[in-house]
Amino acid sequence: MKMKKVTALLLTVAMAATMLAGCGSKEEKAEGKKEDGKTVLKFAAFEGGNGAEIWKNIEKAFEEEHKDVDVELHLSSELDKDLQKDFKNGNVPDVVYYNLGQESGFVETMLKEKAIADISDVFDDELKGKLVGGITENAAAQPYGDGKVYLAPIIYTPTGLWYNKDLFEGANKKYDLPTTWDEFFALGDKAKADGISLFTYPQSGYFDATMYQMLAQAGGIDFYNKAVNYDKKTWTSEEGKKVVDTIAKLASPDYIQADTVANANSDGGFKINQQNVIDGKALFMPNGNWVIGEMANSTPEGFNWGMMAPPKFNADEDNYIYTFTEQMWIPADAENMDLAKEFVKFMYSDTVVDLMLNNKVVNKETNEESAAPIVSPVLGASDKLEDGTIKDTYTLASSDGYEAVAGTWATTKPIDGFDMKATVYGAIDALNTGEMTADQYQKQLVDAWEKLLENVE
Amino acid sequence: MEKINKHKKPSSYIYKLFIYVALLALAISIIIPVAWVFMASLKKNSEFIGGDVSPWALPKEFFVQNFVVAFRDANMGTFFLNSVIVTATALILLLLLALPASYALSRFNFRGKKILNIAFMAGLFVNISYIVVPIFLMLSDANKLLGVDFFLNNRFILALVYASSALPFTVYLLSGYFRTLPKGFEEAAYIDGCGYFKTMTKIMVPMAKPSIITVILFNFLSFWNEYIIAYTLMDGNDTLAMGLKNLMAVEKTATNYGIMYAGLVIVMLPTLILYIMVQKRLTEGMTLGGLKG
Amino acid sequence: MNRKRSERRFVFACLAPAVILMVLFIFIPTINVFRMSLYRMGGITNKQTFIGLENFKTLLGDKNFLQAMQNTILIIVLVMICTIILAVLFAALLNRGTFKGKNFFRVIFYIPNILSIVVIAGIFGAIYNPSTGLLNTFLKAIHLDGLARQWMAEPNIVIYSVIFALIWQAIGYYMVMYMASMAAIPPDYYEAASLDGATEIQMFFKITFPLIWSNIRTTLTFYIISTINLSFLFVQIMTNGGPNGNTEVALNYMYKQAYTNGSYGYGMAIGVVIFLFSFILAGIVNKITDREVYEF
Repeated sequence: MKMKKVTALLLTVAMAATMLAGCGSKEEKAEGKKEDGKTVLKFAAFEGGNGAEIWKNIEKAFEEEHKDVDVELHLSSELDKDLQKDFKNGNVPDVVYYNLGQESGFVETMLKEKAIADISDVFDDELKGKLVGGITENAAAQPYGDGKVYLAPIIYTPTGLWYNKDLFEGANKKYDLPTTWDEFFALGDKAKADGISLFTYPQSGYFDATMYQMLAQAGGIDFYNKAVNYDKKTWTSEEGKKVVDTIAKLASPDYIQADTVANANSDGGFKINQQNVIDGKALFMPNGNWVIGEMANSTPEGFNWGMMAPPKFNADEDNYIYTFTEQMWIPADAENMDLAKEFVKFMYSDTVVDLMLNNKVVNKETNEESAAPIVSPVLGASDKLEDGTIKDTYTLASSDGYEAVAGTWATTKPIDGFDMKATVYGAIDALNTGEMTADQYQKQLVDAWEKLLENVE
Repeated sequence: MEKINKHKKPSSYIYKLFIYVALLALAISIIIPVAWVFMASLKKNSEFIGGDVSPWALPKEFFVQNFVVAFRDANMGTFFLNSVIVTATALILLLLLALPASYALSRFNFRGKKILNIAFMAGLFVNISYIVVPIFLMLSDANKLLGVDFFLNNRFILALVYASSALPFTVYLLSGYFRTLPKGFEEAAYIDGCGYFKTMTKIMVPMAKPSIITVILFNFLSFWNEYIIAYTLMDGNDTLAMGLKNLMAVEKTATNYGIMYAGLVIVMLPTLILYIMVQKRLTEGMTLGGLKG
Repeated sequence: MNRKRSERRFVFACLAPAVILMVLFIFIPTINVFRMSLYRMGGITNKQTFIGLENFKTLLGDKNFLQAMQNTILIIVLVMICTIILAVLFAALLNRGTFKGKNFFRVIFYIPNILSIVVIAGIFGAIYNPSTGLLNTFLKAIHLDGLARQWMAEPNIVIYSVIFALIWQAIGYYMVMYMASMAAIPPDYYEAASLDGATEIQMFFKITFPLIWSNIRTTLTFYIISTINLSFLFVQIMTNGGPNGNTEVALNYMYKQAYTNGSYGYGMAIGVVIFLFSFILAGIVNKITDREVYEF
């Protein structure tokens, strides 16, 4: 406390000096209410592959419906860093769009620190009835598994393995789409003879969806649920071992495009890995439909994307598809909690659903607009998509013989000196470079699960 | 120097060849990548992508559009001005603070001198990367304590933090120089009736000019390129280095290689021009004893 | 007596502003870092619990941290040794050599030092890229395909790729420093030696090197301080520690723990260790290089 006083004193001196120097720059900051009596809703949104326009449109639409509200939009490609600052500075946004599974782990940290508000009351029966089944019933919406919703899924995307469609169907068909891992690796050997690698991954973190899918595929939904809650036997069980071995085999230099790890570890290099699928250097990569927009500027005309579910272990199983969601949430310290909840609810309105479906991104070089639809987890939304690859991915997820799985690893307390992403996914780079064997990877996972289980709340 | 060349042995040719190979190797390793970035900044996206694309190929046409977009996206116009303001203010502050301090530390004897010397030395070891957040918190607390919105997002405060962070090194450098000056100057000045202050400003500081130029150049570069402190303390009044960081982050979400390299060039160019303009001074400043251990 | 007092007043006036700012923006934050290292606290919210030296105990058993420290030490040692050798060599060549283009080389060599880290990272991204990188395509063009490598992936290589970038960046700066102190050596030393028939190489070891030794010694401390910092800035943009922690350095690990793992207190404990480490290392280096200084 004493130090604070000294500091304050010194700073006052500094301030006085500055005032004298006449260099002070002061900016009026909106504090809750503006002069014209409008309530200010501070909305922070991540500017990613979906572009910036969509959030500006949503801002306008909300203001249109709520004449007494002024939405203050904070868009940033480095939103995690901006928010870190804002939170420390006590400048808390009312509502945030930033999803789980980002490189920064920002939402995960917020959850660990219990800094996100319970918004279960937004999801009343009426709204739930409108949404895709089960979308709020998993760990990506209920991170603490206590039956309460903290993260609102506003975008959902089936994920899988992406490929060049023309290699697998149509006039220039070269290969058959594999359905089991055995067929998949057999295809890999065949493609290798043609000088094409079977697989690449943008960055090891992209294995998250694949790994969730594989766990469900290997042991069913119960096994998956136990695994994401750090069941002790996860990785020593037969199913877990199967997942580890398959990943190790997949990551071996026999199947991975040679430049993958180098690109994955360079700044912005993940796009080169994605480009390698377009350029025909690798057949498959794990991804979601955002990749289409992300790569639009460098995709040659006439290229067709395709997506399939990651293979099954046995031909007679149903195939799981992992659904990735992007979330909107309200900080526990938000000032306008009720209005923020209203805003979250607004995300599921017809207005926003349509705005998202009609989203476009602009190619900066040519100024051409291209469609980059975003799909809200509202029933019927995906049906309104134009026919094409994106629609196919949603149709696939709901067709016969396929089952959806969603969620994420359970939230734990912060564990000093432990890096979940590096331990679980980063190790895949090491499997490729030969630094780690499947057994070592398994052991690392077993140890990690033990540690994680101790820290589950 | 002449004398060495007079008796040429065969080995001196090998020696000369070695010199040239070594010098050229390093020069090439610097020129080529830098020139390459300039070249890449004029290429279209399609010239970076595809199986048969060579990074060594010249741009098909000079696609200047990249610069326009980079300039606009990274808001470089205002950021440029901010960078100039912050860098200039920080340099002035730094000199105003460091010159008297180093002069006093090196030319006078007083109680506590040793402790102060050690304190300035210790300051060298403090890394800005881990104190930047405590600084931010301190300024944020000060805002709250005094009920003002003053200490953050303020170009002057940023300049002040820059100047303070550069103090240990600058004081170290300048006091090293002052120490090499003969004592006689001041005594002569005192006898002429100059006060301490006048002696310092009129006699000692002008003599330290080469060192001051070195200090300015070193710190200009580090202030101009700095982004960690700037990013933490600013919010809106961004500097050019932050603009570039931000541009890189935006371009990551879409594939725009040419624009990215154009951004690199925009940030690199002012420092390159300034450096070429004053490079002679830099070595001179150092040669004239600026950095004697 | 009066004079003594006014001298004291002058000294005080000269030092006070600088000292106040140092205390405010360097020492108080550093003390805060030390204080926070004794707490468990999050990276976003400011909830804190005092846990004493617990963080430091955890550190001792943290394999990732030990790997990061190992890498940091390797980087410091290699960057220091290679840069000294190259910078002294080039400084000597430019100082003593009689050939065309001396000025040109001097100007060029300093360029890496004026570039922003972001620019340098961009440049090395373009150099190390496996298929379209300048390095590998060059090696292929001169039919040395065998030497082409995955510079950013192979566990035995990737850290050296980072080290190379650091050395590339540092040479010019230190070269100019050494040139400055070489220029201060009186030319008659060399004249006398060459009359005695000494070769350039002999003169370098007998005259130049001993006389700039004290300057080199001073720069050793700079190497330690700046390499710890620069290795972080480079790694953060170039590899972020990957693959599998092979390029992780201490400060970057601190950053990750403090901000992406929600272990802010733990991160600050790492910061404290890095501070003490650099301080002690500089002390040790200073001690073992302490030998007779040749004056001129």
